[in-house]
Amino acid sequence: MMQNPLSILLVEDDLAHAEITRRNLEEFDVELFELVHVIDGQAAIDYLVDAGSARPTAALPQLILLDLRLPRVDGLEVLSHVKRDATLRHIPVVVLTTSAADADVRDAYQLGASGYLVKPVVYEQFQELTRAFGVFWLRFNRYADA
Amino acid sequence: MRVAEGGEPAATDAGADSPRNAAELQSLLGAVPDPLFVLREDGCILQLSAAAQQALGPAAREGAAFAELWRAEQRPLVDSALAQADGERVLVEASAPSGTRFELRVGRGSFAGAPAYVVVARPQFGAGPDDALYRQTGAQLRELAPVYRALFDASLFGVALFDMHGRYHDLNPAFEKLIGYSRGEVLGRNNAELGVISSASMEAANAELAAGNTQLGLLEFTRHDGETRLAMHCTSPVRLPAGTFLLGIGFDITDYVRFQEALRDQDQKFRALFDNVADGIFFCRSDGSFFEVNPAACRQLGYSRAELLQMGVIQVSAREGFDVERAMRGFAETGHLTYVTSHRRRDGTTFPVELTLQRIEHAGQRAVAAITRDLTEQKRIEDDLRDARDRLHAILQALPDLLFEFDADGVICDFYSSRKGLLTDPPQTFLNKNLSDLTTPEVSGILLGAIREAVENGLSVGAQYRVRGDRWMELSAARRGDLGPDQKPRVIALAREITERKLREQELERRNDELMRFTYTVSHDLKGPLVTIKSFLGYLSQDMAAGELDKAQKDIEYMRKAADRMDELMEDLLELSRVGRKTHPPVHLSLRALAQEACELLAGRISNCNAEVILPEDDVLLWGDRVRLLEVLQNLLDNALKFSEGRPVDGRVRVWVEVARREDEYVVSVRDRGIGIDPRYQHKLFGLFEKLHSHTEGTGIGLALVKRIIEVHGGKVWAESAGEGRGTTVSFTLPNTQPGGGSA
Repeated sequence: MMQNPLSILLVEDDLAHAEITRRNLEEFDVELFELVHVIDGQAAIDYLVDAGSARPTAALPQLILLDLRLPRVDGLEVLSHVKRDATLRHIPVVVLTTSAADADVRDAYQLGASGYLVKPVVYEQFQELTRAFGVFWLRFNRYADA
Repeated sequence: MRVAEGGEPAATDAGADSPRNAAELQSLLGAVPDPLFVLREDGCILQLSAAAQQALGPAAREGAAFAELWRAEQRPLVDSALAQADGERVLVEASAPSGTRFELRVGRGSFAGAPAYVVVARPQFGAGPDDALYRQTGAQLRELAPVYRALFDASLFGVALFDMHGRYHDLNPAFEKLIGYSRGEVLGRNNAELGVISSASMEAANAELAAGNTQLGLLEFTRHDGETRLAMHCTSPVRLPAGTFLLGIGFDITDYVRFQEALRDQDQKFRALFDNVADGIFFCRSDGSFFEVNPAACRQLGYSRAELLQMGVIQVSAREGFDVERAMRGFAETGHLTYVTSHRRRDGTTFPVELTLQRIEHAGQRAVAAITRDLTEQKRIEDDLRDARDRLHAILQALPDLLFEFDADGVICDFYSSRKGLLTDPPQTFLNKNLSDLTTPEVSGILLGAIREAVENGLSVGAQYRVRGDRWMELSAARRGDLGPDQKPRVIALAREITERKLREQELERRNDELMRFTYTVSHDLKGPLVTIKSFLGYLSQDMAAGELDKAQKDIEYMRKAADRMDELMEDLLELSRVGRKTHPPVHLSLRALAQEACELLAGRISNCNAEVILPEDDVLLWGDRVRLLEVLQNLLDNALKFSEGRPVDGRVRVWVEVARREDEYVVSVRDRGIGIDPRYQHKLFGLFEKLHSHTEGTGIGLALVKRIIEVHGGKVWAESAGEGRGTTVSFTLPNTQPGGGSA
């Protein structure tokens, strides 16, 4: 089954973590996604504003993978921005973070997150998480048109 | 002689039918002392007694006309008397031709089977042949008659004369009053007819009287107005010249009997009270000895009644130094006195009593009734009450709070606190006013809510409100057990100033938040490198197994960086924790010297940037930990240089250290013309491990450390920037006096 690869915006300030996410997804199925990586919240908002504008230089992602603790603008602010913006609201945002704090989980869902994933410390678990993520979001989930 | 008995002449009883009877009659007539005639119906004399012949002379003989015996002018009277005596007795007076006056009593009956009259002719007093004595006696009697009549009329006892049938013959005014009838209403009628007494009791009385007995006793009778009364009466037959009568004397004793009953009733009530009342009652003679005491008096003192009756006031009084004379003067004036004194029991113990004296009369002598109320229990309650009041007073004195009493609508009814200094206005300015008129709507809303809660649930705790801008108060309210004078619930409310507590709470809350953030940050930031190391360890073994050595080399590099970062973070955290724990003794520090030292530590960066640090012209002496304050300046200058790099002013990067004096503190600032801060991110500046720029080196601990050091020194730190690209000023304050009070 051939289909267009899913465009993902990865918002992650830790370069090593970005690399882990990328590699895990590639191991799942490199054909199924295109990854754009930004390193802080402000950069993510800038990217999305541009992509959602009348004359975009980049396309809107179909899915956002969002870390919470970011320089300048933090992840929850990015999430809030996306869900308040009519042109961005349809994009599912999945939080991927080291924080398992109850307040973060609650706030994320209240702001409209579609999922909340805690980065596992154990390598195998991280791979399993990525596989499960891939099965759901890359293989079966249907996305709204922009 | 009973002329009237049965209405039949006694002579006829024997009958004259037989010669024996006639002879008996003849002998009887001879023996009768009165002149007696038996007449035929036509008035002819059939028989007469010897006395008759003697009194009326020879004209009086058998066969003569009876009327002929009397003076001619009186003959019609005699005839009419005979004619009227039809079954009745008739009494007339007639004069014989000799002048002697007779009283004629005429009866009708039968003689020898034919109707006949019996006439008894009695010579009147003074009219007889031995008239001198009679006349004298008669005159005396006539003289006495009005006297007796007057006595009769004036008697307080009811006196009545009845004929032998019980018919009223005469009665005095007292008797009229007794039965409620007038004389005219009763004459000739008897009491049974009138309904004064029942027929049965009348008959019983008559039977007694007929036997010649005097009746004496109590008699219930009914007055004319229908009221049933009780009389004491004495009825007895009396023989009067006109015949035999019944003399009744009566006296109404109803009121007396009732009075007696009332008295008995009173006495019973008195006894019941006397025996059962809780107060002791003593009756004392004027010499103070007791002549009667009640059971309560005995109980109070522990003596028997018999013992107390041998005692007097002196033996029971335990009051020393009591001004008896003064008390007695008051008693002498009014006959009444109440005072509190002390009595002694049989066992020697004393107890307080309230003594009430009342003058009375006993057996014609002055005496005193004394009532003693044991006040032991009352005293105890009073003592308890005083104790409770004193305790309450002390509590109120000790309370650092304001204590109010409100009604259910929020009107301040009372104010109890001794600490009136806590108030801005004297209590009278707010008493009887409603809270809503005294405070802001917000505050009165909170207070009224608490009062209502207390009214409904009995208690309200912890309503907090703010007065005069920055003072926090807390109200606790409780409903009183009783109602106010308006029958509505009352609430006692205690208002306590909690400003200090509130500030501490706020501070604690802030610290808690900070700690939470710190924990969160630490766990997040420390977990990050761990995730990296673990993941790349996984990749490393994969890549090694696949023989991809280039990839493996990269994996190791990621792991090394993560481990380094972790090391760095740990170091920084340790450093941060040291700020609060490990301090150096505070000393006076020259700001310029300190800044100079910081610049020396940063000489490399300053030279690389071609920068100039401009120190303040005015030096000040700071008070604090030299090592830490040096760290602050070093951090701030390092940041300023870092973010000014490549942004020279007049050919050089310039950073300024400035100082301003305020009233009780110095404000030290480090100002640059560097990249500035977007106002949106300024709040994140002093957070732990916060970096506004992910590409800059370091963990982001610097400003968090600065903040911590300054706070430990009792100062504040903040950053100002007009925006991105427009430079930054980071300032901190330090108190300019050392804690000892001296000026730094």
